[in-house]
Amino acid sequence: MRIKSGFELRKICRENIVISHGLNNINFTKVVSLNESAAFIWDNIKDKDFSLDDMVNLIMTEYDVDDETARKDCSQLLTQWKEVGYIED
Amino acid sequence: MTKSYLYKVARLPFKIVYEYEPDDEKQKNGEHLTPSLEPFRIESADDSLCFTLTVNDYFRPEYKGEEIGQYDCGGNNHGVYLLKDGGYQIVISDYSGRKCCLLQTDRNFTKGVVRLNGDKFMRSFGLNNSLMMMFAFSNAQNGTLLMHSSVIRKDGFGYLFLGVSGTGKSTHTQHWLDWIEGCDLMNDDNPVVRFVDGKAMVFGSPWSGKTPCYRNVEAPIGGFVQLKQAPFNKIRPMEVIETFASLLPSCSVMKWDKRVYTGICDTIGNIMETTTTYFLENLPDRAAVELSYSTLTGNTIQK
Repeated sequence: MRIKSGFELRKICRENIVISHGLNNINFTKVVSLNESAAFIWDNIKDKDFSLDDMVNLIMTEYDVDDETARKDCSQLLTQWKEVGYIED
Repeated sequence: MTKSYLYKVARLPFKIVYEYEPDDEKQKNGEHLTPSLEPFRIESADDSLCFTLTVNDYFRPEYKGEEIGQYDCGGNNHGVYLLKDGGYQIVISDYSGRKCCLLQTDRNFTKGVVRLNGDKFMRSFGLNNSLMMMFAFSNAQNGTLLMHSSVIRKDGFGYLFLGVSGTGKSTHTQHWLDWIEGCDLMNDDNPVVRFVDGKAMVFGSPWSGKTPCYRNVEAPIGGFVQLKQAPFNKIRPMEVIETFASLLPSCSVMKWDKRVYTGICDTIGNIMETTTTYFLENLPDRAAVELSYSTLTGNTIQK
């Protein structure tokens, strides 16, 4: 899976905000902010194919967290991103 | 034959060129279509022009390109088409659906041609709407926003009131003018907001909706207020994400155009760094004005 084109993470007023542009996203009106760890994952998986395992590995190399917790949090984050509509297969 | 005029809005100069056929004696197009631009006229421009708009009479909806969509811009329709060279063709209709003009521009909105059509109202409407788009989108990467807002000036600062129709915006700003001494209206519909030299500024413009308020004035921004009608009065500063979600839909944007869209998002971010946006739930009463005035300025209304 990958992040759909037209979604872009930008630093706005010290916060990580995902904006959307492009013809495919004309009717997409949601504005979402990400915390530091979610933004870290986004920056490292954008523009390429990734899996849940990739997300977990990223978090475990960057933060001091056990596999189980990382997997649970990443899975939850991925579900949210899918619900918002950021992800395509 | 051509006639050219220079204008400067929000310190940004642009040019309008009217093209005429040699036998065109009526001259339906001309500066009489844009009386609201008169306060902004300049004789010569020292800085480089942000855009040149050529105006003529050959309305032919041709070179259609790929349709991007039909957009409702406050009651009037804009049909937008993407041309092969990356430029745009935009057909602007008035409130009764009559096609007023065909605007063709390069991708950066620095050079445009608008072909006008119909009676004086339609020509004026088409030309003014074309100018707004040329202005907003040629300056999108230049720290400049054309915002939907009503702006009041008090003690040298501009206060911007935001909200779609029906949120009590007009009532609230009118109450400021009625009840607070020394206030004046800078613009009632489409002021220009800019981030210049590290400062958030607001400027009067030739575009002010139904209120004829076309003033060549400027002020540093004192704050933004997002209005909402409520059965009580309450004000609070908004969070970053809320503010962004409130300012973005108040700006003229082209969502499909990455250059324009990211430029505008970045400008909003810069503006947010140096200003505060408040959320005001309000009744149409004096207490609401006292609350917003004291919160924004730290002063109280003199009885």
